[in-house]
Amino acid sequence: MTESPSWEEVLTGISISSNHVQVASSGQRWTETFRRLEMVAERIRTAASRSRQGWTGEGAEAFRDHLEKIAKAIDDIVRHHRSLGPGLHSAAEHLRTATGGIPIPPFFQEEVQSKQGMYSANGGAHDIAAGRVRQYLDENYPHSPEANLQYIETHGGTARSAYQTLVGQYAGVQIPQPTRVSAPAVRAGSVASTTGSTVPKTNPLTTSGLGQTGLGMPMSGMPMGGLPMGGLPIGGLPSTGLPGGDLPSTELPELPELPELEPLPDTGGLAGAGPLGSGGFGGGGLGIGGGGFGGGIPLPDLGPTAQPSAAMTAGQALSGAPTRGTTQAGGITSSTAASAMGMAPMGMGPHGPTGGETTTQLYEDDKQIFGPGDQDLPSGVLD
Amino acid sequence: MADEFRERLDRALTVDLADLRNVGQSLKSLADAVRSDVAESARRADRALKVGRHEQSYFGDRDRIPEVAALVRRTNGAAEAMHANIADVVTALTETARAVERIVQRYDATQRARLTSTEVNRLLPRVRGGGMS
Repeated sequence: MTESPSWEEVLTGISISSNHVQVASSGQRWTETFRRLEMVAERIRTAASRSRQGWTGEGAEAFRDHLEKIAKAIDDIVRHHRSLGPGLHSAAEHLRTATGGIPIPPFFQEEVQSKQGMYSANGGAHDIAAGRVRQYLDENYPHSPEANLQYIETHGGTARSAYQTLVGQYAGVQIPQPTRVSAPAVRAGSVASTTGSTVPKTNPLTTSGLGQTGLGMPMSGMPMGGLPMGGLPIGGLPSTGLPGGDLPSTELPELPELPELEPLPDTGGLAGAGPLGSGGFGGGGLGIGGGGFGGGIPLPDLGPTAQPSAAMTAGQALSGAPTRGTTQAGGITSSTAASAMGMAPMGMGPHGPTGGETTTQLYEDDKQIFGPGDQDLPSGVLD
Repeated sequence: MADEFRERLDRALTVDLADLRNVGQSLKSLADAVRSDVAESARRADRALKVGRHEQSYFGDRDRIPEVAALVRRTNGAAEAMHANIADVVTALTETARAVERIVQRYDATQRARLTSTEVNRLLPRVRGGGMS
């Protein structure tokens, strides 16, 4: 996508192809993961401490030192990576702001919502082809070409601005560098044979292989989760002092199928789907009624509706063509619309109303509809 | 949910840890808790960002927006490191539990009290690489 994408590209790339609710959920789950790891480290230390009651001596202390190494490895894992949770929360907030500020043409509302749902369900096809807004306007508002262009420039510009802000913010999101932390693991030959071992209890030394200093090899049935010694690439952080580099993919141990866990409770800010019908800005109906589900995934609300300007609908009315798309609250009559402001503002300063009551009402409605910058309006995600 | 995990961990330690057998069993229970709850939590956190068979992103269209692609790469990198680290912790706890079982099988209490650090370290899993020695 170029630095100056079209309105359609922004709708495709951000409004349809994102889900700040899921991003926030991921951040929350990572935070919970780190909290659980901390609890495990604490329990390891508790077990070590309480084992003193039954086993003392030099060997016992060596054992407790070993447990402390495992606990410390967990501490290091958490320390290196725990910013992942807040980083994702930050990204979710930026995304929420962006999607809440990208206006949606009313004649594409259903399509955008539908594609948003499809994307969230399975990542499926989701494009709004370039030029479609212009094409629709040319076909449905043929008598107001200048107003049509102004409509695209204004709302498309707002969308583009939201996009540019978001991508700039994304670059600044703090995501931790991947760091592998070494934890005590089995090495080759250090596993006692379970067959034929005849070491009497009075002989406290090795079975075959103990004491070797070779490379670690996986135990049967227990693939190592770590990286080969001597070439431990880490994404930059010198936890082992080895040179950084790209983290290679590792084979993870096959884990058993587990029953579904209960979903994590929502906290403030996560907000799930929000009630149906709530908009990105203002009260009901101002944004696209969102809060649906795509494939079981809660969908975020979309941005405000970009209503056609009075000049566009006036052109239709004068030509006798039926007004298409969503009508504004309070309606627009041809006589007043013709003298109304040429272009509905997007949160810009007030336009002087030039007509009578209906025009005034239209002006007021426009202030509500085109007010993404209105700080009094609640966000689209409700707690 | 968090309380349930805490309770699970506490249950792992509600044994007499003066008995070394129980220490091994507790470590095994902790390993199981990490393998199931912690690893599963991390997997779900990772999955929450991905959609579809081709793992599209919920940050936006990663195929069209370079900044989204970069954020996806960074996040995936951190997630992969975490999955591997968690797996290593499971291995370390599991292998240590097994080492304790071997110590208990081979040595009675009197013999265990006389074990040197060198002898015990030979029985325990070692740190690989230059890491946490």
